[in-house]
Amino acid sequence: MGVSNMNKKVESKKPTIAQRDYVAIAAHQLRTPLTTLRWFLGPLLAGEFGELNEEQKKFLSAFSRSTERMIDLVDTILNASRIEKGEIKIKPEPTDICVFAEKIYAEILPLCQEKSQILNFTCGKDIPVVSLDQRLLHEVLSNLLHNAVRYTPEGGIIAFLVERNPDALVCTVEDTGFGIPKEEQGKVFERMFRASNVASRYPDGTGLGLYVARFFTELLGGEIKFESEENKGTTFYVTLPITK
Amino acid sequence: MANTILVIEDEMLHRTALQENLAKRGFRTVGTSDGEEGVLLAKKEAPSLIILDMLLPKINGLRVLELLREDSATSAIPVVILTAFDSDEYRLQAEQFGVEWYFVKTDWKLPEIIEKIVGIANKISNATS
Repeated sequence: MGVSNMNKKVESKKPTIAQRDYVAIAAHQLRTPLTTLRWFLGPLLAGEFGELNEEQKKFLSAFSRSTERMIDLVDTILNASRIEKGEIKIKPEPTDICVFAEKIYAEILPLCQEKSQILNFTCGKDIPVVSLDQRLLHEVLSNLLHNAVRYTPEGGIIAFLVERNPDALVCTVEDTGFGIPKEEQGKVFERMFRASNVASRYPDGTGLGLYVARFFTELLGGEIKFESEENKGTTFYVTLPITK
Repeated sequence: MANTILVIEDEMLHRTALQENLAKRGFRTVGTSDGEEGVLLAKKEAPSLIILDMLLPKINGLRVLELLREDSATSAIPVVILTAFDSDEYRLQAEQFGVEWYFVKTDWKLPEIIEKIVGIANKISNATS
């Protein structure tokens, strides 16, 4: 590929307004059939419409996982679209971070169990109730944890920690995964960035998750940083102000 | 009529799932796929709660809310928005019509959303009894 063609390819990653709106509309439209799948696969799997044999359960479980993955992808695309259209409205509410984080932990735990990973959750003492937009924080932490599960091999360890330092809350997500190549670390929060060591292994990522996570963290008045070493793992730190 | 829930939802499978599960929990339910008919049913049935979709044929959920709030017979009926359309702009406008709950369908599994709605309906019932 010549340099000019490469530049064209990079340019094509920036959506025009029409493309952005089209993608957002398409993503919205996908939500109705995805809701149908999500609402009915659960009762089907639970045997509410008749007992299933092991093979049927196995296939339906795979459908269910794919549905959840599609919902995540659609949500991420819509969030990126909202950011670019300046449509995010912040709605702070009193939040017990430990209770809130534990719910996210419970959402992620089954994904870890499927990959025989260990997920440790710790919430420190003296964590105050803070005022923040729960939808934004959920998106940030859920994104980081999904990435940790996805990019950590079977049997790996993931730690999810909430602590208080004197002036702020720090949410940490640490994994023993593939890590991010050093030369690519400056681009991690760019739109559609995908690390070269995982892009071929997992071709279906959007590269929008960390872009959204950084934007939402900043909307929360916080900061997101990370440390990473290839083949050893990555640690993300989300620092949030203590706002009452 | 006490303990009646009106479901205004154009997606037949979603409407049926909501009505069947709420009926199992002891609620009388009435359903329609049409916003205009929903407004008429709200007046006729005087439900204790309305579940309203946002993207509906003919008139959308915001227009339904406006019509409900304009009529003294329906203006005080609590409304839960349950929609696939996750828009902060719509959410804000719905809140201005006094809607306290705006649920995005894909955020919830069916038993979870039923629990939420039952909790809201019971809270309303306790507050008015």
